[in-house]
Amino acid sequence: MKVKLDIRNITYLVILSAFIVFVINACKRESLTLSTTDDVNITGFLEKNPDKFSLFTQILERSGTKGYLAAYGKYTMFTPDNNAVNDWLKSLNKTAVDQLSAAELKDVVRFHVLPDTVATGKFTDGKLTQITLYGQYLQTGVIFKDGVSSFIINKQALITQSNVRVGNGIIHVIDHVLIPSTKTLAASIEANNRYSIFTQALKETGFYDSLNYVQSAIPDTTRRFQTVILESDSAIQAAGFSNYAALKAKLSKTGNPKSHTDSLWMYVAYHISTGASYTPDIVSSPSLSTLVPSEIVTTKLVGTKILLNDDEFNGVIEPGVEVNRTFSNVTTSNGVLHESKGFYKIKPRVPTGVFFDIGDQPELKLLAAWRAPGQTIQLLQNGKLITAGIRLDAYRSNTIGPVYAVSSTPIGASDGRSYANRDVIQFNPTTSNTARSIWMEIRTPMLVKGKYKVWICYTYNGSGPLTQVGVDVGTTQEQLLPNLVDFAQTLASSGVPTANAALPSADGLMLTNGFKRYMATTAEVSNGVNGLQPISQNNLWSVMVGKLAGVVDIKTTDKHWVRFTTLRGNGSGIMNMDMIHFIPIDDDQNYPRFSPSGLIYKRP
Amino acid sequence: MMLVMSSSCNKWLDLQPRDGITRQEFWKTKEDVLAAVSGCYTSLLAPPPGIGDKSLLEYMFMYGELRADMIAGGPSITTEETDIINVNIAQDNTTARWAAFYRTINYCNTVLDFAPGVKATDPTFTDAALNGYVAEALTLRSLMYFYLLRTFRDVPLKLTATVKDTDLQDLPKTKQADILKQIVADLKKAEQGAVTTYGNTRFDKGRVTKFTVNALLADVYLWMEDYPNCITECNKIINSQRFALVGAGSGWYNNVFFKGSSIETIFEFDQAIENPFYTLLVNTRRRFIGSPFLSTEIFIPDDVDPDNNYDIRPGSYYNAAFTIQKYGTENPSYVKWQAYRYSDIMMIKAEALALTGGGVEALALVDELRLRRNAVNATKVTVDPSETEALCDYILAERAREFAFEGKRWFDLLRHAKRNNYSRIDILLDLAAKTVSPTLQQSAITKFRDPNSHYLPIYQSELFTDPNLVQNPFYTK
Repeated sequence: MKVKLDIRNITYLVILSAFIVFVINACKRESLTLSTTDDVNITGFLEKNPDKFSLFTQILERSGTKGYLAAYGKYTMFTPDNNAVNDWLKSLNKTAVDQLSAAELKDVVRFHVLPDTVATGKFTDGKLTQITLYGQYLQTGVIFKDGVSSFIINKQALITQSNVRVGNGIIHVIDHVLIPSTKTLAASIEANNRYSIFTQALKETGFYDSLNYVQSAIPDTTRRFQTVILESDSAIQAAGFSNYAALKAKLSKTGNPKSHTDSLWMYVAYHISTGASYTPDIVSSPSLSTLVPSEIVTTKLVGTKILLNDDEFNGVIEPGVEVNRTFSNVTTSNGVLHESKGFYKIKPRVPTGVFFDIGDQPELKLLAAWRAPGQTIQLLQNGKLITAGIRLDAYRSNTIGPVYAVSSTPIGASDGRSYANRDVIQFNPTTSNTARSIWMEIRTPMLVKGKYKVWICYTYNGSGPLTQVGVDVGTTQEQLLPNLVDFAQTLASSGVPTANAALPSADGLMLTNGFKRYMATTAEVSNGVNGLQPISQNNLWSVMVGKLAGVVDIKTTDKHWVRFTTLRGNGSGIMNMDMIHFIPIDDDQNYPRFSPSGLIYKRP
Repeated sequence: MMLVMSSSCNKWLDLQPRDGITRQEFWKTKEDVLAAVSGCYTSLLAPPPGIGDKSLLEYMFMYGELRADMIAGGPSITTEETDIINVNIAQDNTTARWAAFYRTINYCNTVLDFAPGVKATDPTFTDAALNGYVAEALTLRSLMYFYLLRTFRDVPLKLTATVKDTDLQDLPKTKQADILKQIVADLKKAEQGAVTTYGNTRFDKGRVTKFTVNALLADVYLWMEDYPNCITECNKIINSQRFALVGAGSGWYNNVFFKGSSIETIFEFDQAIENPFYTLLVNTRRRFIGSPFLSTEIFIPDDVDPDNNYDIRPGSYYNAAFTIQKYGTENPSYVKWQAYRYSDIMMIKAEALALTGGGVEALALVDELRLRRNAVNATKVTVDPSETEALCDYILAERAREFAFEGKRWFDLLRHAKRNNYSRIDILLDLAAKTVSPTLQQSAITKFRDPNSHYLPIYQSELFTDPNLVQNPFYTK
């Protein structure tokens, strides 16, 4: 049989089948990625893990913060898991999240969220630099428990899963709900029976009230957070005060402990500073200011010990007191508490002369080249200065920096140029060369508050720079000294020529014009040894110059920075700086004098 | 037309690449095997072309020094390296990338898999030659695993070559103890095959010999706290009479480190490839310098006459600016990395003796080394030979002086700390108190109480690519 091809039918079939294919295909959903990322945000992560976070999700919902944490931004959320929330509810005698008010829950959320991304790499031994939305700092640390070390937050909660990165921040899962401190500093001190004597002192001096403000009510915003370092009763007793009455009897001289001139007031004020300083904050700055005007507590870390007021005054080491780490870093609602192991108070001191050989830097003393004849040490090494007590305006070059040098001339060689202890700091500043520094600062030894004449002791260099001397430049205590120091001047610039240098009137004349000899002359004797500086030999007597930069009024007993700013200098002439003398204004400015041998010469 | 087509067809149908040699073409003669073994050595100093990774040697240096107290950050230290010094390590720290070690392991595995087959095509390839090459590959692989297990503790143990995609395996971690067993077994086998000499001093020092195997095995046994076996291995080297200390004359540093192949060296990395140390330690943008403890604790100068009475070591190791010069100041630098020296064997033996009641003999070994290095009284400690811990501390301190900047210090500290189930954990706690930044010091000390923190994390991309890897629990919380 012949099959008849019906073209129309075929055409119809083809069109029909094409249409069917088209319809079927049209039904298939095209899978296109419509979002730029499939990373979830904070709430999305919690919802993806309901077995762990369903309760905290409820807290977010009920407090009305869920939408906010689902939006883009950068946050860090410490997220308690379900067990943690259940334990917390139980401690509040509740059985479900909805038994708490939205406002209460909102505070909980605010205490768990930081407005920045903070991974565990940014944790320290103290507070996190970012404050929670609740307004209290969180404290980080590490704890060793059951053979395992874990991060611990606020001494309350261990991190069980860290650094979960989500679209809008970082989540750290914790095993306890974080609870903000409700007690103020004053209340925390009072509640601790270790501190009964200090509590009483706080009350009688009036500090109890200023430490008892709730944060929002504090009138002075700089005191929103304060730091108290205090002694336990036993430490105060060990210092010889069996009770508060004994302490008061010893310290309170005016009879009114609320008076700012009363030593008891000052004792308490000396233990309080503004700002929340946890132990890492304490060790990373050299001193803590206190509420006693211009009195500071010096701090240092020796090994693992934090020492307060462990200082050297004119070569005498005064041992400090140690911070008791076990009872420190106690967070309160308006600050942080630390305990010191020993009793400490302001020491009354009188200003004495400080004769600072600037080569006497602790880092240099460790090196074999220190005061070894003919040795030099580049202070700028590996892009930074090796001495913490010397700094420059900028590290413009990896290599051009101050140099510590020791004279190679034998002691006693009749060369006028020999520095005290034979060492000198050489520095080559400039106003024009971009590879060199414009100023150098040197940190002084401890200076007791008072007025001092500042003498810059150097060796003449014909092309030396002209500098202006300033103390604590760039701080609120900045003082610029009136006399410029020209390192190209000899003692002859004082108006005393070689011919007159041996006259009895010479020292007095020089002093009047702001100059002095600071090296012992051959006329002076110490321990049977004569000084080495010729008295009037041509050009030799005048090269070791003490130049008065001016009078400085030191307001705080502390180490201070002396800055030498170049006003003239092209980088080709060095300043040879040997010593800086700080001599109380009423003391003898001419003596003692110094020698390459290290001997010190008193006024004959 | 047909003619043209038939002649050009040859190359059309040839699937072999024209600019290289394939595996099928390669493993044919004993020279091919030697070339492959040489490749294993070369990989110690530089990554292969096209791989933008640090050299293996740089990792060895960092793993051995960064967490210890002999080096400090230089002008260009990276944040990640500072984090390691501060025990503030996360799994995204790129210093924890172990790929360089596994690359060398794979080269060794390739030799071990394919070298035996060459005997079928090259009748001049003797059993002895084959065993020698196998011994070299086994020893280098063991050295790599020994570094890995001391740095990461448990790591994947890959013993076969990966030459094609299907060879890739998602291996889980193998316990440190099991890897140690594998290393001991491999080294025992290598000891049988390794030569005692290649008849050429440079090869004797720059390639694996029987004594290299003994030295590595002694070090491994010491780590395993198997002291009698450790002493046995040390004695094999000492009794061979092939090694001695170079005298304290002016040429000591030059002969041992700069020229190399000295009588003191058992195994050094001797390839005509520059080492990474100029950029790392000498260049103005160097990443590491000597630590401040060098002059105060490790190389204390003589207090009477430091100019005439001095230890010969510190002056060659670093300068007054604490720039580390042990690997020379030239650019490029070819100073040879000393994997094992005779002094190492003396100190390993001393340590094993000290811990097995041989205090007197141990002290004699330390004294001998100190005498030859002109060590000064300031670093001498009077130790009662029966006081094991004091003696161990003395040996540890002498090791710091002898092997400064040779990538051994952290492993030395860790080995002593972990001894007898971490009975000397105080060594690491004291270390953290010294080296860690003040604001992180307390955290670091507490972290070090947890032994998991002594090992680096598995780098995160390794975790993504191998689902069977489990991160060290210290780094997940």
